Amino acid sequence: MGNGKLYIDELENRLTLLMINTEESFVMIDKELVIVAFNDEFKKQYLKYLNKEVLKGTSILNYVQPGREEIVRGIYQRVFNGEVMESEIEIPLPDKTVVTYHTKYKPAFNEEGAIIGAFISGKDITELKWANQQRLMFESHRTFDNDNLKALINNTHDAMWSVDVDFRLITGNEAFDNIVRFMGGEPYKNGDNILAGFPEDHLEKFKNFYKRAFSGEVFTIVEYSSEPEEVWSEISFYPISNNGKIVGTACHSRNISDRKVYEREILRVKTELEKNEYKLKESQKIAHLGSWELDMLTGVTTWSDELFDIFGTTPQQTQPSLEAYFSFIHSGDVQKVKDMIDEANASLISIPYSHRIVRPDGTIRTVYCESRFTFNDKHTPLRINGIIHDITDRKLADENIKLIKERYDVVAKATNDAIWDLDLVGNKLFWGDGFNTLFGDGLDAKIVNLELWAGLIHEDERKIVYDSLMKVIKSPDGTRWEEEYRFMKSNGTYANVLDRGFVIRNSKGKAIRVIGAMQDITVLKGHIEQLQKLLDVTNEQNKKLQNFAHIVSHNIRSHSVNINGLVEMIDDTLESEEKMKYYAMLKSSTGKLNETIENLSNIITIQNDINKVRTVLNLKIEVDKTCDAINSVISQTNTTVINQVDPGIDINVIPSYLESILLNIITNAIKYRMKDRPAIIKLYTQKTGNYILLNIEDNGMGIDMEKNGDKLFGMYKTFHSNSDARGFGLFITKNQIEAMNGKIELESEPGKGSIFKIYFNEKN
Amino acid sequence: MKKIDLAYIIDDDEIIIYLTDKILKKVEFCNRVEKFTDAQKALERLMFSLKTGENIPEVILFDLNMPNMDGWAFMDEFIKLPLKKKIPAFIFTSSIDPADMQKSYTYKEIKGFITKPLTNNKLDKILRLIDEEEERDKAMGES
Repeated sequence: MGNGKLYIDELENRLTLLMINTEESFVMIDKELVIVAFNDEFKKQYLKYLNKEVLKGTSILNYVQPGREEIVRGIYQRVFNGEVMESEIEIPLPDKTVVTYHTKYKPAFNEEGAIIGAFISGKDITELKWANQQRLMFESHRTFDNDNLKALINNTHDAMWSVDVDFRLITGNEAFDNIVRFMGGEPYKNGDNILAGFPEDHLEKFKNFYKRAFSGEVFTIVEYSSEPEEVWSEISFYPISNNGKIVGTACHSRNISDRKVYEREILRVKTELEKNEYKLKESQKIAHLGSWELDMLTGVTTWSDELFDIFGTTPQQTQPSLEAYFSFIHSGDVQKVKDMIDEANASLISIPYSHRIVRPDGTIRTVYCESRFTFNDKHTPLRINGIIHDITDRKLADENIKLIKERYDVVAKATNDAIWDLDLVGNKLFWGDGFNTLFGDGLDAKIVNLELWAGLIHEDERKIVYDSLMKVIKSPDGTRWEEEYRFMKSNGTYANVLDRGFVIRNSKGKAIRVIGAMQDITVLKGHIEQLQKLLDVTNEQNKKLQNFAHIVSHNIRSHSVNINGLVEMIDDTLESEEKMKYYAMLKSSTGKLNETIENLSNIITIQNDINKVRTVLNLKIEVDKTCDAINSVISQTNTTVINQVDPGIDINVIPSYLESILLNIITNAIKYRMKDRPAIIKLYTQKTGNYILLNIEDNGMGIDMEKNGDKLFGMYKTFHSNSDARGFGLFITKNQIEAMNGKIELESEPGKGSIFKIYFNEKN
Repeated sequence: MKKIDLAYIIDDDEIIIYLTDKILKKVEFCNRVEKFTDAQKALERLMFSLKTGENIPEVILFDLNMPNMDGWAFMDEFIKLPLKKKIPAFIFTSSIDPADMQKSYTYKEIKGFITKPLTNNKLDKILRLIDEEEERDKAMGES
């Protein structure tokens, strides 16, 4: 845009230069009679004669003498048809003197040879005319001297010749001969057919010119020949009459090639200027860019069309001027603008500024102004060129962007997420403030592309995460990506992160950017895991509770049903012997009911006693104590107990529970020993993770784990056809161990033996 | 309603067996009752009868919660037996666990879920179910 403007300035300078340096006034119009260019002389003369300022872009008819408009219009009509016209008018001046003005109208051709307008040159010939009149008066007193005339006409470079009505040369001067030679012919002798030797196309044309002259018309044509070189001639025909009868024509040809070249250059420049002006105008329109120019010499201000649009006015409503400009400035900004202009005028350097304007319809817009002085070689300012740019929309947009950016910044700071922006075209990764906060200072400067980011993903997940992002980017309509993975912090530890991205695509659907946020969910994840554990425990407890409720109801009901049935039987029976039998059964049933209720209350006690006071005890000593307590059973059954517990192991337990656990498992081992071999019970320990593991191994009957594994520690499950096995002991043992956060497992093979594995939780 | 000749009762609780036997006899539910406190023994007896051609039961009442072989384990073996005539089996339990009831539906041999204690109404129901079953079998046999 700026270059375009400079170029146009340059063209205008050249156009102006071409038109200066001539005494003739010079003006060019287009076919709509609109002035497109003029020289200083023209401007001066109009100012002088009509006291009127000439303006480009206005009609030439504005500058003709009143009443002559129709005549002038007729003249141009003929010029646009290719004719050269001349006029001579007398103009009365304000000081009452009269000047004679000679005007010549010639068609203007473009490079293709089409007429696009007219050149008008004019000259004040008042003095010349006066001199001519004097000469004519003087000559009328003289006899015509043929030799003198000959000398006179030979002395000029203009070709002069005369032809009689039979197209025979009457006479021609030397310049005429020269032209004929130049065209490649032999000079005509007097009496030769002037049309002889003319090329076909010229012949008919010139024959017609002569005929017009023979009919009495005085006219001038412009003739162009390209061979042997480019020559423009202006040929005038003057009929010669003798006693009122036309006997021939005098012809005068003048080489105007130099002027023609000059005119053509003007045209070329002018056409180019027009083209560029059009372009400028269009671009100004698009950019809401208006321009203005102040000619410091004439004081004339011009505005571009777009500038009128910016001000909400039209060239008809507003005459461009500084005052007009000020009339649009918002009252609040007038002083500021005044200061800026004063400053610029004083320093001859202008600084861009912006201000508000008020359009005639009341709307307020914001404009940006920039101007430039053009100087001559003496550093005198010639003109000021300026642009005025309507930036209201841009300003609004700028403010919006600023607002959005502010919001974004606040969000980016407020969030705990690491916001990222991946430029897929340049493979550049940018991070928001949160990244360093979450993962380590200075990390954002190191992780600047996709590969570096992938390098910090835990290697177990790296490929999956990277591939999933690529899949979203490459799929034609993928927009959202989400992945959970472990990401290495700058301190080497891993953070669990939840990373989400949004893919931005260009108009062709190619992914160009991905914007996302990375969230550290390590803590959250910990909470979730804890929650899951709690949930598992709760579920487990719930299941136990339900199981418990069913078993309780089953066990209690089975006894109560019996008792009910027995009581009914006693009522129905008369035989006392039979009655006695029922009473015995009733006693047994109530005893069992009592036992059941007691057992159940034991379990409830264990469940409730989770917070019972713990004591640190030496495991080996506790095992010995238990064995001592059941010493008589051990010796009666010929059982061997081997206590290989590490004497250095102390465990933090609820003492009564430990005692109960050891007692229950050891007595079980004795109870379910194989009858064919002496029982051997071996106790030994090992450490595994957070647990102390106590193994109690026997060589007893064992349990079929496939068949009974799932109901091993259930309530009231027994696995042996032993009559007093009620399957209650293991259930209590399990509950007691679990109450101390431990666990119990069993390895067993029927006929070979069992290993009860008791895990004491040392962490709690 | 035809009279049942032989019924099996399987329950580890001797009192309940005694009481049930008394009731069955009182209402003349069947001619004979064979009582088992161990499901394993009941299974062995049934297999023996099948082999020797002795009378086999026309109905079995069995408890779920028993030591050694529980009711489900008994059922798993029972369905493998090469029976010429179907024997309707009834769960006879003090359990009110819905899971047990659900599980009972997975055995087509189990015709009912009877909660203790046994009453006249429940016995009528058992007999009705046995008759329906026979009618259905007959209808299928004829068609």
